[in-house]
Amino acid sequence: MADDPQRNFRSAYYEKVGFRGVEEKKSLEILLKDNPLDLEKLSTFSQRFPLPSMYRIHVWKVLLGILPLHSDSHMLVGGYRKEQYQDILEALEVMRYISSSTPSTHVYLRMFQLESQVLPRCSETSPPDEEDEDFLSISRAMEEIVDDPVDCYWLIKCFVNQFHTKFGDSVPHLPKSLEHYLSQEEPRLLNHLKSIGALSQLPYGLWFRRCFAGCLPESSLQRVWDKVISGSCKILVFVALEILLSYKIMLMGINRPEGVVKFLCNTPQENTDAIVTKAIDLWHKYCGTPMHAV
Amino acid sequence: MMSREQVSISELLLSLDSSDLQEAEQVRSAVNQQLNTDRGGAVLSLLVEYYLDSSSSQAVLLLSSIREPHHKPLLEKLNESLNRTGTRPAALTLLGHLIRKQPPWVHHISRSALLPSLLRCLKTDTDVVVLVTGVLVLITLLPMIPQAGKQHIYDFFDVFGRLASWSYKNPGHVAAAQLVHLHAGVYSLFHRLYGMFPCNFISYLRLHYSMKENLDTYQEVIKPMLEHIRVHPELVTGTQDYELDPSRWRCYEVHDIVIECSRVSLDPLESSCEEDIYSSSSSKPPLLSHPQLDLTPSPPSTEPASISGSSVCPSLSSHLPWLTLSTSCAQADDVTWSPASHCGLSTPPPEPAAGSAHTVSRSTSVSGGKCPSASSTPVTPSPEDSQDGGPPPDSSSQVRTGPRLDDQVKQQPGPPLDMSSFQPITDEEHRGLSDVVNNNNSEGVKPEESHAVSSSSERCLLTSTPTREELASGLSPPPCSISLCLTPPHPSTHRLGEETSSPFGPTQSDFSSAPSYEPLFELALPRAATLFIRQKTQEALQRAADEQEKERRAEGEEWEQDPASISPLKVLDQLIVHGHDAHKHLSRRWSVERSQFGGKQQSMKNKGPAQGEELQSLRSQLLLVQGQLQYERFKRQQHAVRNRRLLRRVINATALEEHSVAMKGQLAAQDEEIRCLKLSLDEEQRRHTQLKQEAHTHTEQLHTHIQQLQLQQQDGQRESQRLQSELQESQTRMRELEAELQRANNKAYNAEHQLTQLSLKLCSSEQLQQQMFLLNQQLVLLRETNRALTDQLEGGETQHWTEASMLQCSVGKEYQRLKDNDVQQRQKLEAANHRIAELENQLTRKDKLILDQKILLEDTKSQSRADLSASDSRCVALRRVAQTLQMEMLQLYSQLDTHTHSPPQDVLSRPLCGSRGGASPAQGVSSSAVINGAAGALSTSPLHLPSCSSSPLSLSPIESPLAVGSFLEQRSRHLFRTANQSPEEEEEQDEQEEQEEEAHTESPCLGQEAEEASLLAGSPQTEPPSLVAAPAGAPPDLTLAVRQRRHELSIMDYNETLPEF
Repeated sequence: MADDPQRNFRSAYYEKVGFRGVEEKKSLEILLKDNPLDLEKLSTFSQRFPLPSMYRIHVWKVLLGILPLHSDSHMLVGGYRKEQYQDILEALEVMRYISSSTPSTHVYLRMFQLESQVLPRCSETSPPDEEDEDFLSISRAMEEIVDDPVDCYWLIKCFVNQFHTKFGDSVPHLPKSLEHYLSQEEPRLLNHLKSIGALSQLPYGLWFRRCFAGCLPESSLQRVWDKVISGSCKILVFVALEILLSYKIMLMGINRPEGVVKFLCNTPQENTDAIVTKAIDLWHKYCGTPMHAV
Repeated sequence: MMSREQVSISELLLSLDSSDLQEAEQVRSAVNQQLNTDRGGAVLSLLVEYYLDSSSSQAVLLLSSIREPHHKPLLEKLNESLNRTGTRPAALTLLGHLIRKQPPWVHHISRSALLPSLLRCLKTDTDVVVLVTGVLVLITLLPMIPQAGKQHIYDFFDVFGRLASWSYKNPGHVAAAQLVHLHAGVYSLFHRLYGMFPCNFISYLRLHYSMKENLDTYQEVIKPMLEHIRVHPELVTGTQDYELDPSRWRCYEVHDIVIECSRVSLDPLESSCEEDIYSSSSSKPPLLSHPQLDLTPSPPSTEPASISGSSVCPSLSSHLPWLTLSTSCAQADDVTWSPASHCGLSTPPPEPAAGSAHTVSRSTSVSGGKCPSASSTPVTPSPEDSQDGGPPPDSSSQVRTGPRLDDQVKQQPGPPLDMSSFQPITDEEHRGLSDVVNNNNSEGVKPEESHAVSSSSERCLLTSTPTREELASGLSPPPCSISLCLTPPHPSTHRLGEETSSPFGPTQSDFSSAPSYEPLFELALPRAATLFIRQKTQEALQRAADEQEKERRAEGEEWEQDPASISPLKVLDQLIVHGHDAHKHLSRRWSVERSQFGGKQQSMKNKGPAQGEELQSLRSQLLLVQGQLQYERFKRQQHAVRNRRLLRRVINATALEEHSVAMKGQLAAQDEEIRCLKLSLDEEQRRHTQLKQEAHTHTEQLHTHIQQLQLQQQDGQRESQRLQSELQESQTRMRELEAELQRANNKAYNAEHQLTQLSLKLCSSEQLQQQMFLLNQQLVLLRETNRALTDQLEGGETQHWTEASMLQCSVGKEYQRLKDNDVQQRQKLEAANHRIAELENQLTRKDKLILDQKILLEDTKSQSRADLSASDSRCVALRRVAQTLQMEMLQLYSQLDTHTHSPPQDVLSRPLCGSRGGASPAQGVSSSAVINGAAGALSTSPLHLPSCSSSPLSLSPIESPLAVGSFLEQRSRHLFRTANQSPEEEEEQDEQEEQEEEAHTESPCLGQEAEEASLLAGSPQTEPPSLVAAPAGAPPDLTLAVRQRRHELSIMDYNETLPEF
């Protein structure tokens, strides 16, 4: 990569003077030009740099396995995916699980349930349980990010699947890790939270199971998800930590755990970009920048 | 107003001289104030007139204190009163008083009319008193207005000429005593004029006395005067015009001029004090040369006449009194004879003492001291012996001097005859003088003397200074003056006294009571008085004789004794002394009757008008004396001023001297220091030179040493060079020797080599020899054989030749052929090698290609796998869909069943099935179709190619690749197996479900299901082939396929299939 003639020789200095993302797009394009896409490189890139939004969906699809590594078969596989989606959609329609008026997120939920064979009978449809709610919120967020319903469904499905398969074991440990980092960053806040007993009641589900879907606006959320998709669930901890740090003053002023939870569940939507940026920096600081050769 | 003022002033003036001191003081201040405010000079004129009337001293004081703007009326008034005959003497006296005070406006006199009128008065007046007073005023005035000489010089000279002739000719027939005064005044004027204007004066004298009518005056008056002056330096350097130049006097003060004038005087009475010692001594050589000569070397020896009573050495010259002037004043009381009297006399500069007895008034204290001393010591020393007695060498004692003087007096008649040519003149003069004295004495000595005694006794304790004031007051001038006259005269007067006394001798000899008074007198006048008295007594004895004659003789004797002419001042002194004596006699005579208060007026009253004329003359004489006294006092003041200045100079000089001495001391010290430094410098230089020499020698030594060392070094160098050359020589020789050695070695080697070669050659030659020998033998043999063979050849030589040539030809051909063959073979080999390389190349390329292909294959495989997984997932999804659908359907069915339990269920389900599946050909086998579907799904597993599904019976095309047995096939199979496993399980699951469903539904085609169940449960081998012949070909096909597949799969089981495979 370093001796690539196309590479701008100034690129080494851009980051030093504070310009980010100048070269990333090019690097990413170069990465995407490889015929069998290098999954590892892609994921490392995504961990290190924010993805350009025009390539985000594509990269996500590749990373989540929706598209194969060979770009030649993208068309074909895309066709398959679409057909599959339509098949399932049709079947669900036939089975009257959904109608045209059904919200797309519910459609996606049903489809996902169908594919995971947990689709209840029509007569036995129950109100969505917690898991379904997680899915729904994630799909709501994804719906905002992605336009195409086929892609959207596939991304939701694969994202959820991957999250569960990959981080299902580590998610329960994330609160502890959050506590650890908080003690390093801001012990006073931690003590305060502990003293008022809010530490155990923090919205871990919102943060770690839904991956901040519904908590952060999509523009910020997708940058978090970049990292999640590229294989790190630790970023969730740091985002949560940064949220706590950012609203430290407010949190210190709240003495009731319910108030804390309420506030955290309804954090203001502005300034989230900065929070995410700080969180990424913090993440890089604690977990180190993935130095895999890009 | 004016008149009243005048009246008040005149009244004031009347009370000016009151006895009350305070009142006098008040009046004086009042008058002074009025004087200051005076405009037209009225008060001033009144004051002057008052003085002219009363001669008040207070008025003089007031007048002398007037300021500048008031001097004009004063001068005018004075001029006016001077022009009037009646007031002339008083005016002159006043003028003299004023001038002597030296008011600041005194220089205006030269321009005022006063001076010409004064001169005119001097030229015209005939009153001696006026003349003398005027002359004295003029003399006093001259130094103050020296610039007036420019205009009035000839007036001065005329005055001088007139007065000189007057004094000589005496046209007014005035008394001798007054003439003496006049003479003294002329004498002073002469000195003044000569001192101030020498050239003009000399030229005037020359002109004036070259005339015959003046010749006698010259002889008698001028010439003696000329003897008392020295040559003025201005006569040499100055001119007449220069003398008159006012600028000449610019830097002179009054006393300067006075001193200047006295300096040129030889008269000790006139000369200046600065030159006293010298000038007097030098000027007196004619007078005192002998005594001086005697005195200075050995005073006692020349003074055998020292008397027991005299505490001071009698041989003291005139110097002594001068030197011990003031200190001995107090000693006059207790010492029999002491210089106190001299001191008193000589306190003022010598001139006043010499000038007249009036000036000595200051030493009146001495007169007081005289009283006790008079009684204490009758013995009187005779210092005059040493002084005057120079000529008489035998004058050893007073007693003897007396007789001697007597003798002298007696001899007087004789000597005058021997006198010099001018002696007659002097005789005449002295005669005249003595006449006057005689007259005076005879007339007025008595009252005077009486008063004098009383006053002297009265004034015993008086001090000198106050008397002076009283003198100045002039209220009672006669007694005072006379009492003052009692004061002892100057030593010089003593000296001269004995000489001048002679003229007065007759007058005094009248008084018989003189001896009783003598002791007193002697005390006061230790030397001169005794002499004088003795002389007087002698003269009294000789009185019978012609007094004047005697006097003249005495004079002549004196003249004989003193070659120089007598100074008129001495004469005047003598006169005054004489007058004093006369006064004493008179006073003593009247002392019995008169009280001490008796002044002159009393005495005059007592005397009555009978003596009025005498009184008048005495008064005039007194005036003269007073004038003289004032003049002398003035001179004294000038001298005092000068003395002060000189004293300051002396102090400065001593200070400078001390300073110079100190500087000298410093200089000496510095000289000493310099000397020391020079010494040390010399020492240092010496040491320096020594060190230099040492250094020099040292350097020389070092130089020699260095030279030696250099020589040694040169020797060593030479030696080393020589040795080096030797070394080189030996080296070259060595090399030569080495070369030689090498050469020799070479030679030796060569020789050895040659030797070996030679030995080799020898060996070879030996071998050759042997060979030769052998060859020779062979040769012999060969010759033998040759001979034999030639013998043989001679038979069949031709036959063999052709055969050999043919063989040779064939051999050559064969050789050629073989050669070509060889070339051919070689080319073939090359081609083969080439081919081998080519083939190897191809092989490698093929390998690479294969590798590429493999990679590509891998790539494509992974691609296709991804595709496959995608499609697989799709399939799975489809299956899920299908399952769900089935579930849904089954549910629906169950609902139907529960509702109806009737066949129409089939009907209902059939269309449903048909509408759903669409592909199921037979309705009866719907379930089986489902199973088939499952199987189909199984068959549509990646294992089967699309063609495979179309012809399930035929063997899977995989077979052929299996037959190939490539690795790829194995791999793919492996993959397939893993993919197959899950379907199998699903299948089983499905079957169970189906069974359940069947159990639930109790479907009619149970047999088929059972069959299938048995099929599934049982081994494939147990499946009857009849199934293959079933009407519905698909299921048997399927089963077969399944079976086949199972078989294949079992093949995959390595445990079993390997042996089978």
